[in-house]
Amino acid sequence: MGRRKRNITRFLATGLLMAWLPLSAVADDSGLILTAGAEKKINKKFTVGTELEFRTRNNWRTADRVALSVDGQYKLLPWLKGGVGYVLLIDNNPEKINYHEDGDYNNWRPSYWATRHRFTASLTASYTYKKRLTVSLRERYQYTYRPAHTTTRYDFDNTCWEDTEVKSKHKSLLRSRLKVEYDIRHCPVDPFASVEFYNSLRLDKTRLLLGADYKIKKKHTLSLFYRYQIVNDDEDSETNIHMVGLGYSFKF
Amino acid sequence: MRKYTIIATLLMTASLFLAGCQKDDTDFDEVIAEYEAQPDIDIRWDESAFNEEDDVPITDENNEYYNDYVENTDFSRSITINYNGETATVEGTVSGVLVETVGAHVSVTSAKGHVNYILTGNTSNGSFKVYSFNKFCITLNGVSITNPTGAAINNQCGKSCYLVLADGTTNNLADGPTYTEVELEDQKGALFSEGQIIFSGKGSLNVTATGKGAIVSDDYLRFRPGPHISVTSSAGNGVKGKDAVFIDGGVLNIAVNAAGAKGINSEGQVAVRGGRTTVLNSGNSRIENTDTTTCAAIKADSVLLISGGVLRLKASGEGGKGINCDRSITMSGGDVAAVATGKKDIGSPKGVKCDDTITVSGGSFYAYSAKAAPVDAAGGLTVSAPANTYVYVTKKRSVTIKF
Repeated sequence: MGRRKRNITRFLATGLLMAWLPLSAVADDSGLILTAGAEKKINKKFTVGTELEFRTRNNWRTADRVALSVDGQYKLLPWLKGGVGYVLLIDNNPEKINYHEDGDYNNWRPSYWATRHRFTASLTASYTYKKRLTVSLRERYQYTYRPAHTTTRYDFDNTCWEDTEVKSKHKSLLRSRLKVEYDIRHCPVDPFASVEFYNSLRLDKTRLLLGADYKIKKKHTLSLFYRYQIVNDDEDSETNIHMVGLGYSFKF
Repeated sequence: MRKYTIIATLLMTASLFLAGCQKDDTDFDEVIAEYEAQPDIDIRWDESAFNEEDDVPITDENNEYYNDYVENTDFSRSITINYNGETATVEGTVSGVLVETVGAHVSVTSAKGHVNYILTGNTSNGSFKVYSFNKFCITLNGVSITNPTGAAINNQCGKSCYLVLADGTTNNLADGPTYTEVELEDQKGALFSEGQIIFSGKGSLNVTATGKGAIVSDDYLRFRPGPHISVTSSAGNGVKGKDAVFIDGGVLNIAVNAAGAKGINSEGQVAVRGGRTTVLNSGNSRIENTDTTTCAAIKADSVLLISGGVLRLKASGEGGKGINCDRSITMSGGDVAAVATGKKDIGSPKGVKCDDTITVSGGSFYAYSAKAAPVDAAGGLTVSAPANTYVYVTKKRSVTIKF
């Protein structure tokens, strides 16, 4: 086995082992994120990219989301980038159970797949210290639209399935992310960490992230990360979740 | 190193293989099966023969119900009315009794008591009305009376009316969809009586109501062993005894399909001690202004007492109840099945709804509701017997108590 292959294997195995062991001992949910993306530098200032993402929940057992995104970034200043993007989200919305006051079942809407559309605009300011340590702050405005969707639910009172409409909904929020990256000398692995806050007039959720990029070749990069999401507002049926992410990106 | 690689590869493979394969929905299959359980007892209109012992008339004159036995009164004086299409002929006279006929509409005014009016023949536009100061007897001897504009039999006397179904005869009474009202007189059903009606004999009677109720008394009703009575109502209650309904025996089949109507109804008590009673009520709830009235196979505004007999009660309309009782239900014997298969909307369908206590100390009790609680007893359901003498099974949709 070549040195590069061994390094990739170590990289993946270490991350998975570190993530896997604590997950079995926590009460929060856990899941997996798999991504595959491509990036093309149009010129010195303008970059476009696309990414396909797959997420699971329910301790990795249930598909949660498939998302396809496209974005463009423009270097406004040497330390400032602006970007816009669109994400097509195909979500597996979790079940919903309603109860009567006496605790008896009222109705049950099983999980269902539905789409959402997300538009983003962001500004990222970054500072690199001694060509090794990069600190960046990204402010992202995010608008998400959920079209109305008809699904079915079981009415326990009348013991029958009936159509129910999940009404359309839109939501705007501001995401603030502080990220630190370190370029280790003569090492293909670059660790990073970030904290991100989701604000919609109140703090909706917080994401803590720890990971590393492994540059296989000049154009191929693998990412491995652990992400912990703390939800303060469960309006969207989200829960606290530990996630392990594995990503691949290709640069043209 | 090789071991490390194998573990990592296995973990990766397992993770990716497991990821997203399962649903995370709650498994409701068993719960739904419980909610959708069908009744254990199929309740249908039952014309089959029913064997029962003849009742023995009470001979103690001090007994409260001594007067309910036609055998205890001398009805040897009789008048026969023979209906024949648009006319009616009268045979026999009794001093102090005036019989008037207009076409086939017959009216009796009696100043003297204890007369037996024997009705026979057939008319599609007739009636029999009684004004009397004393109790009297009507013997239905193979008669069919339809009154398109009111009650087929209308007793305006507050005294006892003994309605005897002559052995082996089939009798039919029907009203019409629109009543012609008479000032200061009630006529609340195809067979109406201001006083109590006591049914006896071994014939059969079919009562069809399309305008108001079918069998209605402003006093009480008693069904003695022997008669085979079938009641169909599309307009009002099937059987209503304002003060009480006593079912001692006989076969009583009742089918009701009218909003808010009841199969058997009393503003007083309902007491069942024999016979086989089947009620099928398919009516929905009735809304008048802000009042909502739900249907019921049996509705008792006072107590319900069951000591014997077979009761098969089914309400299939929206919010309908098998039994709806404003006071307590006491069951010491008999075989009761009260089933509600209607949907829940304005009203909540219950097998048995009781605003007080339900006490069971004997017999067989079964309650079912397809859409709500099988038993709703404000004061609770109690089995009053040693634990080893009965079986008590509670499910989502049914309650069974068997001794």
